[in-house]
Amino acid sequence: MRIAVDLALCEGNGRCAGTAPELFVLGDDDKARVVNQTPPKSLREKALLAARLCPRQAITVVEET
Amino acid sequence: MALTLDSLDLVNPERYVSEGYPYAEWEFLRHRAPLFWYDRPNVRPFWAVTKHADIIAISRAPELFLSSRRFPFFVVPRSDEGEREQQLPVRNLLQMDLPEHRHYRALTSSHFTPRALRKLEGEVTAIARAIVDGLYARARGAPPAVECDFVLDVSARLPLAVIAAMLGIPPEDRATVLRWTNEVIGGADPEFQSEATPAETSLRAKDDLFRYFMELCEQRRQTPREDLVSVLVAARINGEPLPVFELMSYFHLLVVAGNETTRNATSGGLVALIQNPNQWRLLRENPAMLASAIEEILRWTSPVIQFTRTAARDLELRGQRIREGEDLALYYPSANRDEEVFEAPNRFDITRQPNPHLAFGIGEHVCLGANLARLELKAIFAELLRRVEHAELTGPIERLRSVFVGGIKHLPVRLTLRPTS
Repeated sequence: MRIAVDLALCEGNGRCAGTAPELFVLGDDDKARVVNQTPPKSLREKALLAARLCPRQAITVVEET
Repeated sequence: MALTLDSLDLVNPERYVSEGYPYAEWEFLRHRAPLFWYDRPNVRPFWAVTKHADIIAISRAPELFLSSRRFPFFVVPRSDEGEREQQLPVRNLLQMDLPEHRHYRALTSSHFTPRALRKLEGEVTAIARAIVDGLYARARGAPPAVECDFVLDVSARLPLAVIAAMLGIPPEDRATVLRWTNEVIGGADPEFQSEATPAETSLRAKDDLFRYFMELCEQRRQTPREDLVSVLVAARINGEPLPVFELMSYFHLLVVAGNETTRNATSGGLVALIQNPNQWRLLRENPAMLASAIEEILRWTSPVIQFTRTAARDLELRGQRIREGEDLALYYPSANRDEEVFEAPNRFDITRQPNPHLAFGIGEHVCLGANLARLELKAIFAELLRRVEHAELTGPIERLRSVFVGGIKHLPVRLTLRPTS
């Protein structure tokens, strides 16, 4: 799966980093960065949860077959 | 009287006064007609959106569901049909679409992040403490007890003081600003209606706020400070300062939104704790649950009743054909009781996890002040839990006559305070 953060939408709420620190980190510029853009399937649920929780809906998780 | 699709009412402000939110109607709709074309005499028809998933889907597509086509929160009478194109009374983030919305929001969003708000924590805590100190000053007896209007004496004070401080409104002007914001939101309520009609009251109050902020802007242009008025006065979009109308509208939004909603979550939260004493006890015994309790208070009180969108083109949603130009009302409190999302949704449960409520909306237009609201709610409830032994209602809850914000105007209570050590 691939994870992306839309930086134009991101406002630094940090829900993603709080939920899945293995996947996201909040920078000093108040923007989230994806730590691992192609993480293992074991982190799928966390990735999807972070995407759901983002108040701005800035996270996309694309599941590749 | 049994509910029917033909007769159920969502827009009569009187029932919001007498009965509060139309939970039964929303539940009925969620089950029978989750995307319901609400068509009644004297009301411009709209789609009533009552499902959590639909509000998310709509909110995630701001290019398909526009905010700029109509004033996004008042039910529009059918007679205003021809006035759709007329100038809106304000133009701020609520009425903007992409790409403009992004530019305007970015001017202040850095001041509302969790990180930025950490700098305010000390001040917010101090204000909450001072509010409860004020209750002690008026209390009598042993244990000390005070009778008050919780709205005026507690709920209204903190959000007003904080947003006023952020904007740079001097303390001596706050009472006046509070009155104007009451009139903007509560213009339909006889207590706040000063002109012949609700619309006129709201507009006159808006004009008063505009005039006030024009003066404040001039002062900040001469002598900038580190407040939001100074930030917005100095702001540039594509090298240009904000047009006056949009600048004033921005302040209007910050001061109204910063006042009305958090106040109502605070009042409603106290009512919920009074009505669920086991939850109050649980929270007092487990202060670490405060954050979770605040989320449940938000889900439970859901102060914003609805915002609307307009379909940008013909599209299909939940098997229904929505036509370009049709309006949709997103009923957030209904989403917050959606049985498909929340177990036992009509139970106030401070331990509820997860709690994916939509009290702040979601997506492009998600509440800019959400983190600030949480900070304020935590501060006031932490203070109340620490120092209030017991609270009880001493009279009826007086609700605001509004179909937009679920307001409690007056909340007569007796607060028994913990003796000072």
